[in-house]
Amino acid sequence: MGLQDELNTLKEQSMKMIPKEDAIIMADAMEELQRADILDHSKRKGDLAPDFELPNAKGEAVSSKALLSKGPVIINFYRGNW
Amino acid sequence: MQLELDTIESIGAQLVAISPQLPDQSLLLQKKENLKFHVLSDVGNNIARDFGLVFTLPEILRPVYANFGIDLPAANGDDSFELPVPATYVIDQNHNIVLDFVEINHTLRLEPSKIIETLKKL
Repeated sequence: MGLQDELNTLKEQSMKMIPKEDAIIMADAMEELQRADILDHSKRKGDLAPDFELPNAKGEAVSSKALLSKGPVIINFYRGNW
Repeated sequence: MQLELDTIESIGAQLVAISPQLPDQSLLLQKKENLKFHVLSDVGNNIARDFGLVFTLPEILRPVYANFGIDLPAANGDDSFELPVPATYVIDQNHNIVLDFVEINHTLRLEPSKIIETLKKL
């Protein structure tokens, strides 16, 4: 079973716990966001990756240059651990 | 996922997770999940903006999120309600993006096997 299958199962379970009116609002908002031009300027395959330097959980600065000097990097942007 | 993380590490690649949360929120995650990868704090979404990923949470969704107990201003340290579109990138050592997955629907994710496949070709 792939990651997406696992996530789909989790989604089905959590959707059962969400009030119907909230589920409708979420679906409508998702559609509206998908129609918007948010992703028109998103970086894609073939683009140069912007550099970054950000603090980790301990407050230490981590830079893309330092990471990439050691090997390829996988960046995952996530909304939050909520 | 741990298995895939081990494979990614054995190839010599590193995984970085970036969110707009304050570092103390990230520390909670790092401790809770005992994570082996970098959890970085992009307060204000400046790096997400460089990647063209920032959107403002629609007002109609804010009370819904609040009902779920999600307090975005507290987690992110501002009341902008800005968030990154969930996205995964693989970047090679020349700083080129060699794989992207950018998806507004946050319940869709890139299969880790695709990442490994891409890394093996570098």
